[in-house]
Parts: sequence; structure tokens; C-alpha cells
Amino acid sequence: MPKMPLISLIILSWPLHSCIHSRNQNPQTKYKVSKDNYSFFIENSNTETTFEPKKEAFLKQQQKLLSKSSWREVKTLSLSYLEEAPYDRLALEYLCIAVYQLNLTDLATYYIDLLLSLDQNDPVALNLKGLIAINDAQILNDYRMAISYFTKAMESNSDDVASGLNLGYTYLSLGNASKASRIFRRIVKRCNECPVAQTGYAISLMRSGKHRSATTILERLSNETPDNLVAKYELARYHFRVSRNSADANNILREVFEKTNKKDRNEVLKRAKMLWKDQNKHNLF
Amino acid sequence: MKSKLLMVLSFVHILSPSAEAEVNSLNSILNWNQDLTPLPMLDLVFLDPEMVQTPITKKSLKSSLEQWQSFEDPKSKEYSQKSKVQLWQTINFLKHLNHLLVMNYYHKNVREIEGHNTEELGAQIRRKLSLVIGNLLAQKLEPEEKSLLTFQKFLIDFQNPNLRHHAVKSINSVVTYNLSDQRKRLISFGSHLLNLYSNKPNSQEAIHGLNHLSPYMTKDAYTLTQLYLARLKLGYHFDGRKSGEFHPTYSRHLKMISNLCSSFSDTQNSHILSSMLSIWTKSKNFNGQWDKPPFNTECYKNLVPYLATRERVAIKYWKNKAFQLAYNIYDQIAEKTTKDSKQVLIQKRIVGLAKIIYEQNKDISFYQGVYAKALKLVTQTQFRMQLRSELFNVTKTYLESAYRKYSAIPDLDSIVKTFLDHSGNENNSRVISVLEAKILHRDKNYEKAWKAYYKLSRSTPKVEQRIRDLENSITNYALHSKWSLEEPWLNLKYGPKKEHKKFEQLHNELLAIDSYKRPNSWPAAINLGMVHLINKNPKKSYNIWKPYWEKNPKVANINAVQGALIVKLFDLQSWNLIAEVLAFVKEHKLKPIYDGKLIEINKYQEKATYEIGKSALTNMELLKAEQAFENLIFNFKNSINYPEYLAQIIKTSRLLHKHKLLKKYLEKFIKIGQKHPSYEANLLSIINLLKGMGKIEQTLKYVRKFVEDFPDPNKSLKQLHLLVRLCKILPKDGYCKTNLGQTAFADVVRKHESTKKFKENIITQLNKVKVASKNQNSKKLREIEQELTNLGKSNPMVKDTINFVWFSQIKIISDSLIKKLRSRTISNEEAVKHYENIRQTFTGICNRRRVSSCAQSFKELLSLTIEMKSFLALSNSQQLLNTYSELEANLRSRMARYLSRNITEPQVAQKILWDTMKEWNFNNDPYTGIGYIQAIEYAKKPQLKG
Repeated sequence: MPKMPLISLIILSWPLHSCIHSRNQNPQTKYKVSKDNYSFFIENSNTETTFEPKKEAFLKQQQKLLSKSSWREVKTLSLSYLEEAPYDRLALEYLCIAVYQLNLTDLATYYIDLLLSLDQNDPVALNLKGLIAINDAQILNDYRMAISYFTKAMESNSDDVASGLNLGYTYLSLGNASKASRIFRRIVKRCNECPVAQTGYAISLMRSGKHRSATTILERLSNETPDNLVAKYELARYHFRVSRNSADANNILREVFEKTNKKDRNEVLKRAKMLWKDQNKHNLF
Repeated sequence: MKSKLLMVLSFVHILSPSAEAEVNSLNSILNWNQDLTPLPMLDLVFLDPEMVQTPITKKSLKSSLEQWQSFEDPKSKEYSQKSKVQLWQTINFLKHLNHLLVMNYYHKNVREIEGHNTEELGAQIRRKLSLVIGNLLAQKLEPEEKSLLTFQKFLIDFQNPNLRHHAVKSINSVVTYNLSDQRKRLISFGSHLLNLYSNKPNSQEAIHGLNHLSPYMTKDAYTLTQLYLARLKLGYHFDGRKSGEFHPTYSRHLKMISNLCSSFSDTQNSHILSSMLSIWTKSKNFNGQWDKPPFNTECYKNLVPYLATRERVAIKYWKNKAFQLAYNIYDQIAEKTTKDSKQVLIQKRIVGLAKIIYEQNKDISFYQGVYAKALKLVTQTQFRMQLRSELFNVTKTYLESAYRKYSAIPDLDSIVKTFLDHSGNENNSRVISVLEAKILHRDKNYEKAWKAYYKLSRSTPKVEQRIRDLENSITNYALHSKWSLEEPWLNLKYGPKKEHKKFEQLHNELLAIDSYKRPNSWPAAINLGMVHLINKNPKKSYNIWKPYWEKNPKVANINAVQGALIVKLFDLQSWNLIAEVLAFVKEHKLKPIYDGKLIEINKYQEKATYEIGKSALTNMELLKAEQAFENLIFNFKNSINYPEYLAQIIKTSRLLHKHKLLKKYLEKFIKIGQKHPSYEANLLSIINLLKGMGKIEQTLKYVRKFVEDFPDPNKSLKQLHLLVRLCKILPKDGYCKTNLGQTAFADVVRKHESTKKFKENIITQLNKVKVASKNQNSKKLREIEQELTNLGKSNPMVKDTINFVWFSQIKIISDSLIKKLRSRTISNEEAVKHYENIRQTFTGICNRRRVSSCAQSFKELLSLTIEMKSFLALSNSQQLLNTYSELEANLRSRMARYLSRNITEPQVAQKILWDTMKEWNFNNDPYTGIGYIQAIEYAKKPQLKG
């Protein structure tokens, strides 16, 4: 089964902002109060107000590090923050993401469980759990498990986008394009027609044979956001496989190849080769 | 007269206090005794029984004297020509005038009347009377009349030495007349008297005659006669001439006179006594024995001459150093002395004597009594002042000496009282009162002492004195209350509890004085504070003491006072105050004492700080609690309670969300607090904290510790699970490497895993039951029941689930019956049979654990019963209908009763109650009523409305 390294970054970082916003708006619903020993650390919401400036600074710093993908630093910062605010959900979320990104799956699972023990519907935790399930997927059931996590995450938080995107792409991966398109359509609304969701939506439409609608979206996307390589790639794919316009398809593929990071170019080349293979063509770059 | 003067003089001398004067006065008495006093012959007038006793008034005397002024000379020619009647009138007038004079002279001691010397005037009157009687006698008279006149003339002439020869003539002429017996006796008496006087050879016969006749005379004449006879027996004549030998029987005459004394007035008795004394003291057997008069003294005890005699006795005692006897006599004399001038003299003498007696017996009461009595009897201001001054000196000296020598004064009260009653000087009174208070204090009679000082404070206008008195009063009050300033802990042990009002009053009075300086009131403040301390109001005590300490931290007895305060505060658990006091103590390096021992400040401080912290923690004063526990942790590291302090600061830090500190304290606690009751909880706490902090290695460390310290898997299962997880994450950890493979460890983990799976299985089964129940799939339900039974019925989770299966099964049957009832496709008998089966099953469910299941069962049964009622109502079976109505009522009642007793899940129970009871008349049954009310309570909540 194919994996999705290209989109994983977006999927992971997306929901954090929305989660932060929703949490600040409604702190009462933040945690499910547990009667465990650590309830002390999570019950009192007064600390949040006094702690707010520190938290703001923490968030700013984390966002910076996230944008740089500095996972070690994210992890260190989160741990340091947790030392002052144990069981802080946001910090734990960052920690989970960082540890996950550092491929410390067991540790990530441990932290995720911790997060879920605070809120069994935590979208980040569920999303990560889904991703881990996919990463370790051996059988179809693992994907089902992942789907259940993503679904729970998406349903539990009406603002959550990442889990929806992951769910959509998982359905796509499993070949259930119509279900994926339904999911992506919801997410497009949820994220104010964000390009990622639209791209997913277009791909799912494309897979389910709704080429016209799909190409309209993809063309619009590639025009509006020239860096959306996925949309471009899908458009190229469309030209290769449906409209049989190899020239246009190759042009687009070339553009994608050039704009892709050097380290990711192999992936683009690999996918291009698959298309060329269909067309009996060889390395046009 | 001379004798009287001498007597007075003798008093004057005798009463002079000096020893020299004493000797002189004694001499004068002795000299006086050598003289003979002439008899008061004027009294002879009273020998005349016909003498008219005319009332004497000043007016009558004056008019008589005016008449006397114009009285004609009886020797003139005109006088001889006067008629008998005129002459009688003249005689009566003169007799009357004489009588007036006598009365004034003797009875009132009047020396001058209307510018005339009384004595001279008397002599003139008597001379003229003699002449007028002579003129009348020259005329023709009846014998009786003549004899009377002649006798009268004899008496008058007899009194006058110049006319006595006429008296002889007169008496001689009278005897020739024919007279009555009485008259004859008179004449005879006069004759004997005259004979004796003339010292004729037949004097013995005259004496005998007088003796014989005297009882027939008037009392005056008798007395004079006896006096005369006594004098004769003494060897002296009437006029002082030597008459013969001394005869000791003279005393018999004196005794006879004294026996008649009661019939004389005091003045008469006084004269008679003087004469008797004159006779007695000249007798040869007198020998200065003043205390043994030869006559009866009963009537004379109040008379001056007798007192003079008694004084001589007193002086004799005095000379013989029998001072007490002398004093007693003087005391008697003083009581009978009316004249102030004399009283002064007597009192001087008495005081002199008393001083001698006091020096011997040191009886201050007696001595004071003398002065008191003197002050009572004497009115002379100067002498009174002198007496008061002496009384003051005496009392003061005595009290001072007693105070200095620590000698006991049993009658202090009366001594002071006697003085104060007669003091008349406020300053002196104060001096004595102060001395009294001092002595009372010295004698530890503190109750009286404080009252005495308080009284002093009220009486003095001087501020300083008042302050001192009040301070002393307070101190003594404290001592009276068995309080100690130096050892105030004794007060706490033995002090009374309800006497603080007086203290407060005294203290307030003291403080009310403007010029009063605070530090001076410290002793008072100690006591006042101590009262509050005893009355369990240490805050008041502290507020009283604090200003003094702040002003002067080394104020007297501060260590003892603070010791008492600290201990009391400790007893009363006033931790904040203890801490404050201890801080002060430490700041000023004081050393509080209690029960004579130094207080272990640290011990108290530790306890107080702990309690303060604990109390603050309870009241959620977290910063205060933190401060207290931090203080304990830093300053009492070696305390056996150190783990407890850590446990407390752990709680505080947790509430304060100081997680870093919390971690630090928890780590410390885990190291040393294994035996502390909260060890397990804190170990779990640090595990959870570290978990929350994301610290894997450290979490592992403490999870390991937990598993080691609590090896019982039932307790540590969760931690074991965590340990396994952590070991998976940290496989290189030394512990994990060693233990993960071990069988026991693995078994435990496996067991835990299986439990987890078991739970999951049950939950799956439960979900299946729900689905089957929803689908009314009885077959499936039976299968599930079988599966659950295979899992083991003893497990409570399984039990509950099976219970739920049963309920679901019955519910299906019940619903089916309801359907049949509604469609009326069932007979009455069948319906009743089904109903009974269902009812028994539901009741069986109620005997099991869950209240909510039971409530649900009741609810279902009730619905079914109501359906049955509706069914039966249409089937004309009144009896059955009644039975089911009763059943319904019974069911509601049981349900209400059951739920009201078992509301462990109130929301569920009350919701059911509301559903079942809202249409029920709860007056039918009290339990239903309770249920209904509970249901209404529940209905008020918003969730039900929704």
C-alpha cells in the first residue's frame, strides 16, 4: 500500500491552529475530567489565565519550529513546557507530533495514550493514532482501524481538518473514491476551501470518473497556487490517462519536477515514470 | 472656804505631769491636811423648823435686795415705836432674805449678788435680824412666841462670834418658859452646844446630851452635831481650839453622818464630806491611809472632795509603782470630772501613767484607748491637738516598729480603726493606712492589703500617690488571687478564673490617670493579661502585653510571662499568635520560661508553624500555607515530622500548580517518607506528575519503585502495565533488561493483559445485549446469557451483565404481553398467568445489585400492571380489577420505598420516580409521597425538562 509522505506534513500541522482556537474559545469543554491521580493537574482552569502569556510564547515558538520541521526542538520545548504545566494538552499534542515525526513510534503511542487519557476524543491524538496504524499497516484491518481513528477525530471536532484529509486520502488509498469525495467535500467547507482539501476533492472526483469537475478544480488550483504540485501532478496524470494529451502532461510533469525539492524529486520521477510507463515513454526530464 | 480653795489647788498641782510638780502637789495636800476647817455655820439656819421655804427666783431675790437697800436701821428711835405686827413682818422679811442668800451661796456657790458680797451681806442681815428680834422681844409677847423668838436669836447670835454672849443670855432666858417638848429639846440642844463651846466643866454631859438629842433634830442639825462631836473626840474644839484628848470613836460619828448622806443634796454632801475629810485626815490614826476612809463613801463617789481623796490613793499607788491601779483610779476620776480644765489636768496625768504602763506591757490597744478616751472627754482644742499628735506618734511608732521587726499584730484592724476614728488629720490617717497596708502585705493578708491600698487610692487627691496605691492594690490583688508575677505559670495552674473584673477595673483606673506612664503599669498589666489568659482569651492578653514589649523588650519578668503565654497559646492552639510571639522572642533573643524551665522555642515554633500551615491549607490560603511549610522544611530538617512537612508542602505545591517544586518535594518525600501514610499516594502522584511532564526515564524509576514497594499485583497491576509499556519504550534501561524476561513479571503482565481483554469482552457482550434487546431477539439474548455464564457467574461484571440480559428478556416478554393486552387477543387467565411470571422475574432482578436495574424493573412492571388494569376494566372482572389496582398501589409504594432507601444513583432513580409517580395521589401512602417529592425535586432540574 502506498504511503503519503508528501501530505503527511500538512496533515499533521493543520489542526493544531484550529485546536488552539477552539480550546481558547471554550475552555470548559477542554478536558474530560478524570478521577485519576493526575486530575489535580488538569482540573484547574485558573492556571490557564495566569499561564496565558507563557502559553502564547510557547505557541509562537512551536509554530516557528514546526515551520522549520525542527522536531527535536519541538520535543525539547514541549517537555520543558510540560515540566511547568504537566498534562498540558497542547504541549502533549506538540510532543506527540514531534516524537511521531522523529519516528519514535512506541514513545509516540505512549504520549498519544496519555493524551487520550485526558480526552478520548482528542483529534490530534486520534489523527496520530490513525497515522501510526497506517504506518504499521499489515492488513486491511489496520486501515480500517486507521479509518476509525480518523473518523472519530473528524467527528469529534467540527473544526478538525487534518483528520478529514487523512481520512479522505485513506479512502482514496483503499480505492473508495466516492466516500473520499464526500469526506473531502465536507473538509473543503470546513477549511474554507483550502487548496489541500480541494486537491483531495479533485483527486477523488477524478478517481470516481467525474473528470470535468475534477479538471476544473485542478486547473483553477494550479493557476491560483502555482506551488500546488499535487494538483499539477494530478492534472498531468489526467492528461496522460484521460485526455491523452502527452505534451501538456509532460510539460506539467516537468514543471512539477523542477519545483520539487531535490530530495523529493525521486518520488516525482518515480510517479512520472509510472505515467510514462503507461504511455511507453522514458525519462523526458 | 479655805479648804475648798486648797482642794482645787491641790488638783492643779497633782495633775501637772512633771515629776517635780507631782512632789509639790503631794506636799500641798499634806500641808492642807494640817489645817482644820471651820464648820459651815450658816447651815444652822436650817435648824429652825419653821423656816419658810419660799421658792427662790432671781426676781424675788432682786426685789428683796431692793427692799433691803431701803431697810431702816433697827437701832433708830422710829424703829422702837413699831408695832408688833410690823416687827414680825420685818423679821420674816429678813429671814426670807437670809434664806435666799443661803440658797444662792451654798447651793449655787454664788459669791456676789447685785454687787454685794454674799457672805458679808449675810452677816449684815443676820445682825439686823438679831436686833429686830431683840426689839420684838422687848414688847409683850406670849410665852411660846417669846421662846421661839429667843431661840431664833440664840441661833443667830451663836453664828456670830461677836454676838455669842447674847446667845448665852438668850438660851438662859428661854429655859424659864413653859414650852412644848420639841421646843424644849431645841433649847436643850442649843444649851449643850453652848456649854461645849464655852468649854465648861460639864462638857461630857453636854456631849452626852447632844448625842441624846440629835436624833430629834432635823437632819442638818443632826449632821452638824455629829460633826461637832467627832471633832471634839479628835481633841479639837468647834473653832479649832484644842479641846481635849483624841478618842478613836470619832469615826463612829462620821459613819453615822455618812449613813444619812442620801438625804442631802450633792452640794450639801460635798460640804459635809469636806468636813469629814478635815476631821479624818487630822486624826492620829490616819497615817496617810487615804484608801481606807472611816465612813461610808457610797454617796460621795462623784463628789470633788472624794475624788481628791481618790487621787491621793492613786498617787500613793503611783509612788509605789502600782501604775495600773493608779491608772484605774484616775480613769474613774476622769469619768466623774465634768470641768474641762480639770479634765485636761487629769488626762495629762492619765496619759503620763499610760505611757509608763505601755512601756511595760506594750499593749498598744490600751495605750491607744487612753488617748481615745481622753479625746472623748476633753474639749480643749489645743490639748486635743496634742493628744491626736501623740496618738499618731504612738500608733505610727508602734506600726513602724512592728513592720520593721516583722512582728505580728493580731489586732491591727482595731489599732488602725481606733486611730482613724480619732485622727482628725488626713495626712496622718494616710500614713497610718499606708503602714497598715504595708503590714497586711507583709503578713500576706493580701485581700485586706489590696482593699486597703484601693481605699487609699480613692481617698488621696495626689496623682502620684493614687498611682502608687493602685499599683500596690493590683499587686496585692494578684497575690490575694495567688498569682505570681515572677512565676506566672503558677497562675495558669492555680489561678482563679472569674476575678478579672476587679483587675480590669483597677487596671483601667490606673490607665485613666493622664500622667501615668505606661512602663510603670507593667506589673498590673501582667496580672490583667494573666486573667485573660486564664479565661482562655490569649489574644486580649497579648494585646495588653504587646505595647509594653515593643517599648521595652527587656521588661521585668518578660521571659516568665512569655513562657506562660506560649504554653497557654499552645494549649488553646492559637498558632498564629504563638508564631508571632516566638518571632518576637527570637528577634530579641529572649528565653521564655515555664514551670521554672526554659521553653524549647523550636519545639513550639515547629508545632505552631505546622498548624498554621495546615490551617491555611484547609482554608485554601495557599501562599500562607506554602510559607509555613517551607519554613518547616528549611528549618527543621532533622525533625521526625519532616516527611509530614514534605507531605503537606506537596499538597500545597500541587494546589499552587508549582509543578517543578512539587516534583522536587515529591522526590525528597519518596526518599525519606516510606513510613508516612501518604507514601503510596505520593508515589503514585510523582509517577503521574512525571507522566504528565513526559519524563519517561524518571517515570520508569518511580514506577519501578512502586512495584518494588508494593509487590501485591492487585495494588500494582496498573503500575506494572505502565512499567511494561515504559520498558518497551526504554528497552535499554538496566532494570527493563533484567526483569522483562522474568516469569513472575511476565505472568503479572499477562494476567493484567487478560483482565483487560476480559473487560473488553464483557463490554462487547453488553453491546450485543443492547442490540438484541433493541431487536427483541430473545434467542440471541439466551446465547449471550450462555456465553456470559461460561465466563464465570461469580464475577460481578458478569453478574451485572447477566442481570441486564434477564431484564432485557423479560422486557421482551412484557412488551409482547402488553401488545396482546392492547389487541385483546389473550384471555384473562392467560394474561394473569403471564403477568405473574413476569412480576416474579422483575422482583428477582430487584434482589440483585444495581439500583437502576431494579428501578427499571419496577417501572416496567408498573406499566404492565397499568395495562393489565385497562385490560381487566373492559372484561367485567371487578374482583381482578380491584386486585390489580391494589397491586399498582402496592408497587408504587414499594418502589418509592425502595428508591428512597437506595438512592445511590439518584438521577436514575428520581427520573424513574418522576415517570411513575407524577400522576399518583401520594396521600394514599407516605412512601409514595416521599418518592413523589423526590421526583418533583428532580423535575425542577433542567435536564428533566429537556
